[in-house]
Amino acid sequence: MNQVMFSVGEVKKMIEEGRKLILAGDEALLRSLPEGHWIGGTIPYFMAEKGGVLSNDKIYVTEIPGYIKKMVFKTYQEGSISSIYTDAPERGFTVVIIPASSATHLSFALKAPTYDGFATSPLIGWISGVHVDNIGKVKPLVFFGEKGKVMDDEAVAIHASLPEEKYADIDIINIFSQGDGDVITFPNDGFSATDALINGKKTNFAEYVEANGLDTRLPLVADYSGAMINISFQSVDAAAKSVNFYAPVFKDVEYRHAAPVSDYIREFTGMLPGAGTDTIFFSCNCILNYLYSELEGKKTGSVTGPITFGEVAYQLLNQTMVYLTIGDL
Amino acid sequence: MDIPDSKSGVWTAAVSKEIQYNFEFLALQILLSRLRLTVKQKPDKTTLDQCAAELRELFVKTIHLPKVQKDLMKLMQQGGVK
Repeated sequence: MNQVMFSVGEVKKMIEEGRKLILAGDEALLRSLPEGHWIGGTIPYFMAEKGGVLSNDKIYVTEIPGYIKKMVFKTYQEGSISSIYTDAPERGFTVVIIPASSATHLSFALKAPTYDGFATSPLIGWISGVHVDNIGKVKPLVFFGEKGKVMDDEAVAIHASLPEEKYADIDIINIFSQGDGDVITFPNDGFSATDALINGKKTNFAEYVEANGLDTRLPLVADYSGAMINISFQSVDAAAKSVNFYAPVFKDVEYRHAAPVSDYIREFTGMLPGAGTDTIFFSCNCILNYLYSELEGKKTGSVTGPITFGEVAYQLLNQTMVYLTIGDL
Repeated sequence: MDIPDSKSGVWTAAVSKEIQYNFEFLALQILLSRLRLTVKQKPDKTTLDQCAAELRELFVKTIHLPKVQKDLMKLMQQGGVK
């Protein structure tokens, strides 16, 4: 398996050689890097060569292949991220990193499906984060290496054009499926909900979760024409009688609580692409999968990548591994 | 592979009926669900035509992908299970 975790010294050398990189790592490590053709985001958790790992002294490196001759680096704010699809190359892909809990993150999460050109170009990426003990104390960051910028409220992206003979494709591995319980819909889009319709009947959702003993480690799952799309629970606020989520629920989408999963690794490896994982250029997996399924020290096949506070595959996803492959036409 | 023109009924059928195509292309799965929801929430002709055009546009932009070519076959066959 190719090496993916590197020391600061090794990454500095790559940058000085002019290599084009997508980086994930601890804030102090990324701050110590020189300007160059790279973008990055903070996170200390990874699926590395030997499995899940918490690391404060290594950086996860994805190198842009040499056959990609044209790339555009760009930053986006809350008011401009809506153009991310129309900025994308006609043939190629986009990688985006967005700091968790920033206005840009919230805006993208809620509105991406309404952007011009939504889903017409491969958009993959992740939400940067921090050690879970530092949530609310330390800000997640993204880095724009070409300008030496460190940002807590803007996203950074690489738009990469592919040669004619190659194509990019995005897919997901989601071990969760809809359970056979109630159909849950919500009256509004949002990261929190007070009321829900349970099989069409208006109900306080926090009371419903409590009364039915829902395991909030399991997400709500919607069936998007065969693709299972998760919404993860963040917290249940009994006093406010509301439920908070890590991604927004959308009005009128039909959700069900996920069916239980007994063995993440077995389920996950059983869903790896049949063609193998050699063509995976970039992937990332969710911090909730890492924590709830205790992935530290465990291998998810030969798939590696940062462990993130949210995954982007066209739109924001939760508790899902997303990956981008580059194939030959 | 030729993509049906914008007047073809396959586009409006796809966004307004609960046909199961078993598509493989993730972008198509996500976009189709969003378009169906939009039509369900606002079932007028203008919305239907806009959503049908948006779906077709995705095929136009991505038809070079092997998965999309397979999914277009499924769409054209309209052999979905209702």
